[in-house]
Amino acid sequence: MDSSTRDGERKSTLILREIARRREQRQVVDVEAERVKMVVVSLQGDLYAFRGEHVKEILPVLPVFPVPGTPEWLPGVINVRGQVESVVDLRRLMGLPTPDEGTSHRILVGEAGGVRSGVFVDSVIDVLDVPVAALGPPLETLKRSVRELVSSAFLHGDVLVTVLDLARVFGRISG
Amino acid sequence: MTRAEPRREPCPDRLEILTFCLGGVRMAADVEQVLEMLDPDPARAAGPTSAPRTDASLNDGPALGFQTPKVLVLRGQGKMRVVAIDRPCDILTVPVGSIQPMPDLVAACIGARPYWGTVILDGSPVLLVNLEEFLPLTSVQPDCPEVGEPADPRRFV
Repeated sequence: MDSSTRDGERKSTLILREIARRREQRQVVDVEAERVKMVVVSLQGDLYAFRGEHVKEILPVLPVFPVPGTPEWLPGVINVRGQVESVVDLRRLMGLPTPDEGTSHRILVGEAGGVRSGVFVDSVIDVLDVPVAALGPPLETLKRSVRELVSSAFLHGDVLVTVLDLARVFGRISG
Repeated sequence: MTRAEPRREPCPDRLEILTFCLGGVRMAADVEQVLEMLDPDPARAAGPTSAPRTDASLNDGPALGFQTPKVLVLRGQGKMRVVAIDRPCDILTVPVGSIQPMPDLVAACIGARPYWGTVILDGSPVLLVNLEEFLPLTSVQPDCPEVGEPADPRRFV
């Protein structure tokens, strides 16, 4: 092998090594990529999530005091430490089947788009830091009444979590 | 020469309210809006066209099916206006500062409904109703004289 060939091989080795090094560097950067906090809840056996910055607190179910004239997805108001808050029945708002017996065990108090309200959920599953890159479009097969409230989706283990946009939820109610 | 600013009436710091039940919902109204409280039968006897409107309801939905054991006669100008309630509860004085506005979503849903806001009594939110705006003029019974003299609210309970 002449010297020019050996030089060429050395050069290609260096180049390939540099390419591999940069690929590894890019992977390290991805691990430290931007993340968003998500509060994962269950509703009718499915998993949904709200962005953490919109969730102010999570409460046990409180007595609801009805307000005449409100639609079925706004069953009334609750007393949260002396503050009167509305509460939304997300199942009815999204057109999901509503069981005869109440299955909501938590009230999630959220604030988005300048509006604050409680939201009934069955349970709170987890609070996660989800990479922004892991957020994808929602399922095309979602009901229209649900899809209009959804911003994205991600996988939690093997389970798909649908991210609800709280501003859209409150926007639909307030019109 | 500067124009004198119109004198504004100071806002009262306390409000006397009559709490009552309507269709299982506890509500309250400014006592000054209520002229008198009657049993339905005496209200009917007050004049040929003074039968109380038992369909006066704060609920836009289906009929509540209440039994209207009491009728609130509102202060008015020559016209008799009445609101049927299930039962009166109490007369209380609350600080105006304790009255909270209706939550945003509720206010958005009920639109121009006449709720002043809510007040927490015994740990429960109570709807504060503005009876003056509740009854439109179309609910007014024609040619009915005002019933009775301005009543002492303590007679209500």
